[in-house]
Amino acid sequence: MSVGIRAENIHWKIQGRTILFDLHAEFHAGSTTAVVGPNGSGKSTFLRILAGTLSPSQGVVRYRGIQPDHDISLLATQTSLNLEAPLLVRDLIQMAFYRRGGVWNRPPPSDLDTFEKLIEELHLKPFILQPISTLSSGQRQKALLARLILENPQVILLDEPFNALDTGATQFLLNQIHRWQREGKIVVVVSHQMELVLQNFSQTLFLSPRYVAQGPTRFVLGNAPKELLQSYQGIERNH
Amino acid sequence: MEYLEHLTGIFWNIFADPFVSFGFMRKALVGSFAVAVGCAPLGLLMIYRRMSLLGDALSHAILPGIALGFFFFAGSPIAMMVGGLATALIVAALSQSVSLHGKHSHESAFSVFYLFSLALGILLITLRGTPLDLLHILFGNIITLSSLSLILVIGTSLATLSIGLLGAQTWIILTVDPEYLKNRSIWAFAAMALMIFNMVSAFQAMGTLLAIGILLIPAATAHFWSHRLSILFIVTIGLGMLASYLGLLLSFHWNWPAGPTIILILGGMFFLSFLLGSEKGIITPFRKEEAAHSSPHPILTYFWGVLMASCLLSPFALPSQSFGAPPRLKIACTTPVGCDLLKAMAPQASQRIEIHTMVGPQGNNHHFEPRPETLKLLKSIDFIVTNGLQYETWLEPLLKNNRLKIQIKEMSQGIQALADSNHLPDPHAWHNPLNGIRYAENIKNILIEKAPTFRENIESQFKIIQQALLDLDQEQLNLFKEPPYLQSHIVLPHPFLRYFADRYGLTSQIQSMTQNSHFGELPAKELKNLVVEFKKKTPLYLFSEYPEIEAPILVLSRELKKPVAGALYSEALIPEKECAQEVSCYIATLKRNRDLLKKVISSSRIPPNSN
Repeated sequence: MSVGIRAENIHWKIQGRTILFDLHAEFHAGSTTAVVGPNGSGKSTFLRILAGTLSPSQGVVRYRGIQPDHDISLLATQTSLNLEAPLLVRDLIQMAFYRRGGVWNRPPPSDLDTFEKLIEELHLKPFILQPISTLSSGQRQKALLARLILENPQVILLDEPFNALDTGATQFLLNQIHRWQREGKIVVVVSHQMELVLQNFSQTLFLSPRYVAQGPTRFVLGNAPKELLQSYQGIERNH
Repeated sequence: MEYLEHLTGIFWNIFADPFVSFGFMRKALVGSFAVAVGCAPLGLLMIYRRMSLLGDALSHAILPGIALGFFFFAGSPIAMMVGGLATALIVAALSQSVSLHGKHSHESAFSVFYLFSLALGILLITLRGTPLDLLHILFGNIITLSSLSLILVIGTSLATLSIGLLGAQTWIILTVDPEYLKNRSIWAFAAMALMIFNMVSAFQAMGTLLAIGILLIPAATAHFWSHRLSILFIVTIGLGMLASYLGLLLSFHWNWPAGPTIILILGGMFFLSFLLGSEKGIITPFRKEEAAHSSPHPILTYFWGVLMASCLLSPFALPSQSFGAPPRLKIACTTPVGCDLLKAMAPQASQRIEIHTMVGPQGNNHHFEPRPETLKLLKSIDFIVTNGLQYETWLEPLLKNNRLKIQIKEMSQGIQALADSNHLPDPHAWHNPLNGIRYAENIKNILIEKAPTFRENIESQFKIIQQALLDLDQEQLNLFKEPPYLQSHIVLPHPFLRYFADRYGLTSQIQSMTQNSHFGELPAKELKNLVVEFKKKTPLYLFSEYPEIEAPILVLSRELKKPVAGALYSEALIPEKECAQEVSCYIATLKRNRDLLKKVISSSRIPPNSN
């Protein structure tokens, strides 16, 4: 095991309520993990803790072969993105170059080629010179996704990325996740769409107050209490 | 052709000449341009991060620090700046930590900091009763900008602009998506520190409110016109410069105070853009079509439109008309008393001697903000007649900052000064008629020295005034030794009758609510002490003063259940039409005060056995 993340003994309390209690989890290079569980079980919080933007109340996240400041990209549902800001879609996506190269470096031509290809594939080309305030939530999600792909991070954390995406974009993202997996990256995705989880993710982390498990997707979901899965129709059909 | 030349001349006189001929206008223009250019990136950052309230908070946060610097280092500009810097940094750090911890509370936290600092500043200033004027710190006076302040403002602006441009990408990310930025708290704090440096460097130059106005309003206005950062940047700078230029021009031609005028013009531009803006304006005719994104931006057209409109309006701002042949002697006077004595002694010679009043007969000299008119006047003046005794504290810095070397003649020369509770000379010497004679004598000597041909006229006028004042003094000596006056207690809002009381042996009879001439809000404890003290004294007469508002004395009057007996003239003189028959309005005013005291005190019943 050369590259990986291990969360040990993670607790998260907010205003007296315990959301995460003594959580252990491991993520290896070349693995794709889905994080599932009912609302309020701390999935988004856990992603932030993994990304290092949030310190747990207790416990520690250990990184091997990864610089958390540098190599981790998080696509959160609630971002600090200020849509009123005077910025073009192109400049929003190209913020990725700044992340990788700093303020002073100009992006290499290969990055610009990747950028052109990405906006083509995501059908963002016509909107590229519009202010970000004119984007729909789906287009915004695509733009943020493009930015994240351009960053070319070692660890990819996605919080409900499929929610606003249409079928084409969903397929694009799934392909991208598989590509990341082949490239030996760590992918962790929060999702409520069980069918997608079952078909595309080898590993699953189940978070709920009573049942916490990590392992192969079919195994984890198969052992989950029935009442927890009732809301997920996809699972019922597969069992 | 001639017509064209004439027209060019008019335009030159209106739009360019003020800045070509007058150094103070140039300095003010350069100073406000520097703020407009340097602060554009900061302004945009604040507006789009929705932190304009923070700007307000910081501009007030420097107040307590300035007050502290004033107390402990005797008003040295450097100490006041360091003090302001220190308190602003504390407030910035506090609000930063609040905004990092509580997501929704920072707006309210900024309001709290802003009110807290303002209150603390007022408290500190009032406690020491310093002549540091709160309004001056907030609004300042850009036309009296000193060279040192100008250099400071330009330096800060250049530094801000270069940091803004070099770190542009970082500032953009801080604005658009702060969580995307590594070390974002450091960058956010850097933005605040820059803001603070700008506020502090601007406070002496133009007051913090004007500076924050030039910083925020153009940026807020620009966003009605574009969504492109580069265009926003240029529009922001342009609007700031245009408003400064127009504001100074209006101030020059119409004699309006420059700072508020600039802010009002900026405000006007904001509302105009709110209505007509091409990007987000609410009325559509100027709004561009959605498809026009790729076509050249029409912002410049609108920009020129605004400029043309202001040019069309400007002919109303015609410069004041010029006089015929230049007179021989131009004298400026800073006090109603001085102007009156000058006019009284040079009536025959008045065609050759021009007298210019800097503070009108109803004006108050304790608070005085010079306007462009004042400075225009000073450039052509031969000498200034002042009261002296540290009455005109504003005059020396004004002359120094504008490099004006004008002779100052103090009317109070040779007068034995009485000190107030701060051991500063009390300036109100003219309330003693004998001092009035000394005033008149000093003015007589100056006039004779400068216009020896009118010697006889001046001397005969002086003799009349001297006699009138001697008569008045004798009359008052006889009057005030009577028992009703020696047994009465007189309360004034501020101690302007110290010389009067000293002359007529009424020092223990005449008291004031405050002991120095500059007072702000009266602290509750002091008011309580006054009430307790004066309750015991009887008979007691409360007087208010012209032209001040009588609020403090009214409070005392309500507490003691005693009516205010009348208003005495402290700094001002009675209106000219009421003293047209008299030798001098100054003497008539002294008589008016005496008559009021006489009427109130002699007409009331003296209780038996009162002591």
